[in-house]
Amino acid sequence: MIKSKLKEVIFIKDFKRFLLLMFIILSIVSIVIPILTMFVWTITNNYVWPNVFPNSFSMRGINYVFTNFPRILGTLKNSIIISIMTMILTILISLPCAKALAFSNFRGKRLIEILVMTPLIIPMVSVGMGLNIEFIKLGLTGTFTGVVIVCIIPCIPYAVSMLRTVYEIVGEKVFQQGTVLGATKMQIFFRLVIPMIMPGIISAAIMCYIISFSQYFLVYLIGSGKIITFTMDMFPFIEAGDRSIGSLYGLIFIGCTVVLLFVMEFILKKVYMKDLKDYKYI
Amino acid sequence: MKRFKPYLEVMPVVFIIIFVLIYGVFEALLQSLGYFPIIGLKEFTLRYYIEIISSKSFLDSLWYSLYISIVSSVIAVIIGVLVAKTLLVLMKQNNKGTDGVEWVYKLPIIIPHITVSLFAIIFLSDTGVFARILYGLGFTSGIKFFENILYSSNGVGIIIAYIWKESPYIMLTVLAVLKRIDEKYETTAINLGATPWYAFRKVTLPMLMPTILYTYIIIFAFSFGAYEIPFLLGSTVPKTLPIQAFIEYQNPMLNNRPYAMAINVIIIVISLLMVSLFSFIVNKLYDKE
Repeated sequence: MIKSKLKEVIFIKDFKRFLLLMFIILSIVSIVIPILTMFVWTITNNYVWPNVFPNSFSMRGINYVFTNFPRILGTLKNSIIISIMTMILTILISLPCAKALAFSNFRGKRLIEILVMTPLIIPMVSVGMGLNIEFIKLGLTGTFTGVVIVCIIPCIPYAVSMLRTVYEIVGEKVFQQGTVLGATKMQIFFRLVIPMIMPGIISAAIMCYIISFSQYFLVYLIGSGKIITFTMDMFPFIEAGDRSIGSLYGLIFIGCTVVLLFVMEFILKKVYMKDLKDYKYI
Repeated sequence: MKRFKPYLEVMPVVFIIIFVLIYGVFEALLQSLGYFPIIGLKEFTLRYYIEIISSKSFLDSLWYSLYISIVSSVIAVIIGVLVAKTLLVLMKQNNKGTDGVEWVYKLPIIIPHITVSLFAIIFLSDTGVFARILYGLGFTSGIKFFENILYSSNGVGIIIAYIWKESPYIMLTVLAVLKRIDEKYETTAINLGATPWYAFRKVTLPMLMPTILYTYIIIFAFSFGAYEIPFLLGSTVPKTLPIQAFIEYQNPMLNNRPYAMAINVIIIVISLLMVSLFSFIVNKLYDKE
């Protein structure tokens, strides 16, 4: 009897484990399946009711991309340029800020911390509308500069908090040690700071790139029709519910992001592999 | 000079935020109060606010925005927390790390909201994948059911789209915190006779609360002020507040602008109020310790 009771308990335990596993699998599937459908939709067009799977092969989406290639390439180029500029500038201004927030205590620090987080709370849509006229007066609308400036804002909270976390994890002592051992500020920065916080820089940079690449409303408003980004080009097709072209655009979007991810990791690791190789993590 | 170093270091970030964000909010506020010198409005007045607040379409939009943001954010948080805990439990039982599967949950981060709308259209529209599956299973009213999901005034499509995009982010954040929380506390509770679920509810969850509230407020504020998803998946009426604001903004009559700005300021104020409320709750809850 004890054996059968034991088997009961184990069965319930296994059943619970099975349920939990199903739950996780469901969550994974619900993420992966929609992404996979994008691939399917690039090569089909007809979605006759009531088939669950599209049953005809069509090059409509791909044809569209090829015939409009110059325009699509142009908007893609705009997007990439804007996103890379935003990424670089955001990281540049966030590095010192993150360092100050991580290591220093100064009056007004709390206020600055809150200020840095405000773009997460205050919707850029409303800010953009309030700012538009002033930007027109300053001649910033319709220019890359203006668009990059507004795209930096939503990236700042992510960049600063990610970089700050990495700075805090690495700790100030390592850098102070560099000074003690006689390194110059430049040496410390390029050969000590940057390699050690590299993972943080990469994550923050990717986040900035994705955020600015995905911007639609801000670029639409501040670009005032003169600057068309890839996301803006994508928008009308999704508005119209065009699954083929919408999916194709979506795939190009994700493809660009992934490619950039790999390129960045490659470059940064290559440049710093030399320095990293000499590291002995104590 | 050394004393000023931190101030210099934070200066670029502070400067650009003040120049763009603070200035933009300030301008919106001025214009909403009727100060719009370009077209000659120079008197401060509250009449735009009064007219907006008493208009039914504004109140409908306000309710619609709040409803969508609150519901989607709450459900996203619940799902995120449950998935994080489940993942951790399963991994502990099998003595594996979660790294192998975490990347799946990072995927929705690189997918823009516009594409998430596309997914919603593919799956949830009245001729979408789910409708067809239902039809194939014999529920011929599949179309009818899904007619009410997208583009409808109950906002369900928008809510589902937000949940799809936000819950992985919550999941990853909560997972990171859960991994750091010493499981000693939960194990002690279980040793003292609690069921694992009870231990989680009464021991771990309170420890997670600050993180949960913090991420909740972020996704709430984002969905409350977002434009793309409600525009692509929303109904003709009611519209969410940011869309209503933009419609007023695009009015060719420039002296309609203060109405748009009044809506914008109300959006900003509500977002700030929510944050203050939640900070207050967090402080109240955790000051006792």
